[in-house]
Amino acid sequence: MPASARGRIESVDRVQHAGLSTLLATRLTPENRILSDDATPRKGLELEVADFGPIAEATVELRPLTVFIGPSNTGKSWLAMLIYALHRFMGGALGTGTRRLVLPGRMFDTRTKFASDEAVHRAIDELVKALYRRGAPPGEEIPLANAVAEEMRLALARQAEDLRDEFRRSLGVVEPEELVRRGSEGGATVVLRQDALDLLALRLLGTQAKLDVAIANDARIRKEAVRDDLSYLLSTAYGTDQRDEESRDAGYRDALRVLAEQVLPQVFNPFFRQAFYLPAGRTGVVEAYREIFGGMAETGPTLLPGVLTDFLRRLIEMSPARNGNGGFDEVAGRIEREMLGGGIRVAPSPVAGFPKFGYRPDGWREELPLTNSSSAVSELAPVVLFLRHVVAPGDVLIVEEPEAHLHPAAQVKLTRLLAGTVQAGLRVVMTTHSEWILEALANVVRRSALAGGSSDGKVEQAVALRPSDVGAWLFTGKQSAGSVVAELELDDETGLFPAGYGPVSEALYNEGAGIFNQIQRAKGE
Amino acid sequence: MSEVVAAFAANVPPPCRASCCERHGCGVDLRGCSDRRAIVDMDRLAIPLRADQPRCDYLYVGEKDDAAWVVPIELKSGTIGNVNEVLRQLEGGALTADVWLPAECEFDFLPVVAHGKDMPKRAWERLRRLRVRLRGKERSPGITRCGGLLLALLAAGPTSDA
Repeated sequence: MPASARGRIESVDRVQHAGLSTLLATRLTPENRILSDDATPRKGLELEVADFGPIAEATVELRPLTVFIGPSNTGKSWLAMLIYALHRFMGGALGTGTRRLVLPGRMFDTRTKFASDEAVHRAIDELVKALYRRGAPPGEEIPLANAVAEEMRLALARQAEDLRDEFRRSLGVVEPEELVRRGSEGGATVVLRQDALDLLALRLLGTQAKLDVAIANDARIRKEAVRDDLSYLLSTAYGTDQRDEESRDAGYRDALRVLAEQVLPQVFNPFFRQAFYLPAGRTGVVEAYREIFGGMAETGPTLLPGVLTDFLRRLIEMSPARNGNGGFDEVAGRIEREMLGGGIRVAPSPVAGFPKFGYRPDGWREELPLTNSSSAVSELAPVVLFLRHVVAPGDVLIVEEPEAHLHPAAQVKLTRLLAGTVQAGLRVVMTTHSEWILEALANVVRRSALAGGSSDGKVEQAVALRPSDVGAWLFTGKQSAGSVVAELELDDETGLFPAGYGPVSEALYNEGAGIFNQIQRAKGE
Repeated sequence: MSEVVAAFAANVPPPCRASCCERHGCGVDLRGCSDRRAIVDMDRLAIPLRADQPRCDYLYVGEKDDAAWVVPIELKSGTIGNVNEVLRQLEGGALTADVWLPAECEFDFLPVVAHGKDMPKRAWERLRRLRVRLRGKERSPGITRCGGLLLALLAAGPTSDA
């Protein structure tokens, strides 16, 4: 018997005391817990929302770069926060430095009763046999047994209230009924759909929440991804005849959890990746984060939206020691060099536990606190910090109103840089009122038609995203009836996303023309 | 019908007369405009311009508040791409009006462009420089989306909140 297997068996007694779940969670290193890196984001994944908050109807295909446009109070931020909440619900990790997911553990806890013990046990036993079959090629993938898929489906469906409560938390909604649009008779629905299959459908009516789930039948178990964990289980409670029934059941539950960690990211990708939210009020928050967080610590739980408290928490947890963790250090550096004319620094603060952020203009020795810097610096500082320290390729960065406090030239530059991060694997969701951002984005998309066809060699260096990678969605409607959301197609003739700013430009133009014409008349012509 | 409008209408050859301002899916809405009006289809052969001379789509001459208004109308079902071309087209309408209006008459003048698609900000900046002249009157054109009300443009003044 290999020494490693002996070690596992020796830990059986500890298992009985600590519980397999706890032990598994603590035993595995972060390096082998990056669960969804091998799962390609699903194409054509749609989020359909009805009577949710201010939104009457919305069907949005989630693409690597998703942009929400429209008048105020039409629900752009609600939908962005809903996306964040879905990521939080599915992709929440156990703690800093690990990507081990919370959800599978919650799905299969000690209270879990299987719909069919016999079928699940048999399916897992057969899977284990397949895993250890001699001569199996490396990288072999095993289809998910129906009994296992059904248990996952039922276990996930039991999380309806947890999902609803994550919506409430992220959105800062106190009562469950407030998630439903006023005047709605049928309640709110939130559906994740692909190829006409409702992967997840949450229905909210009053205080009730109901979750229906489908596990797509293309889900596979990749041997290498689960073999270590299942080997461990085999060597402990599940795999030994001497254990009592309770231990064996716990073993099967843990086996299902291991399989769920492999399968759910495939089914619900990209929602099993981390999402990070930069709220619209970030300028003030980044200037006053210590006072806000200190106040929260004193007063206990707040009614602030979860997107804001999570943003605060990320700031508080930021550390110079984790420099470069984000994977977009180069883009962060370009924002500093090309837009800020100086660097954003994180340093340990004399105030225990809170980092200190500063801005050092190029050529200066001193560092300015962000409170003494321009609003553009405070606006961009969190973007720099998150790109440098926090987000990684495959993650989702949600940015509300990136145009705030920025000159149009800076808006265009930031749009291109964010598009560049999308090209490098980050997924970005943004809400905006900026025509400049939309126009810059339109050019990024149009440029993709030139990719590889440039004779001057410059196009290859420029950022280009395919139309299929970018979704622009227009929110319209009156608050009383709820808003509706429609995709904006890039207009070939104008090269623009027709975002409805035309009437504003036209009215201003006609007002100016009218003034000119009146002056001409007054001159007596 | 005012004398100016009547005199102008009398000069318009019958083949050039039109009853609406609409072409290729774009037009301006004449609702609310006085019935005392003459509309010229500028694509007709009898128009007093050289065949190669640019021209707008319609020339509207009608009454509003007891005054005669002369309105060259250019219709773009897409976007307003070439502002200089639009200028020449509206000038063609102004030239035609100059030919068929009575020699001495009082009128107001507003060139109009209708368009079908959003335009970038720089297009609006170019449009702001656009001026059309007719008998000493210099005007900045009124601009509307296809289907917009002509009356709203004629009513627009410096205090308008439109």
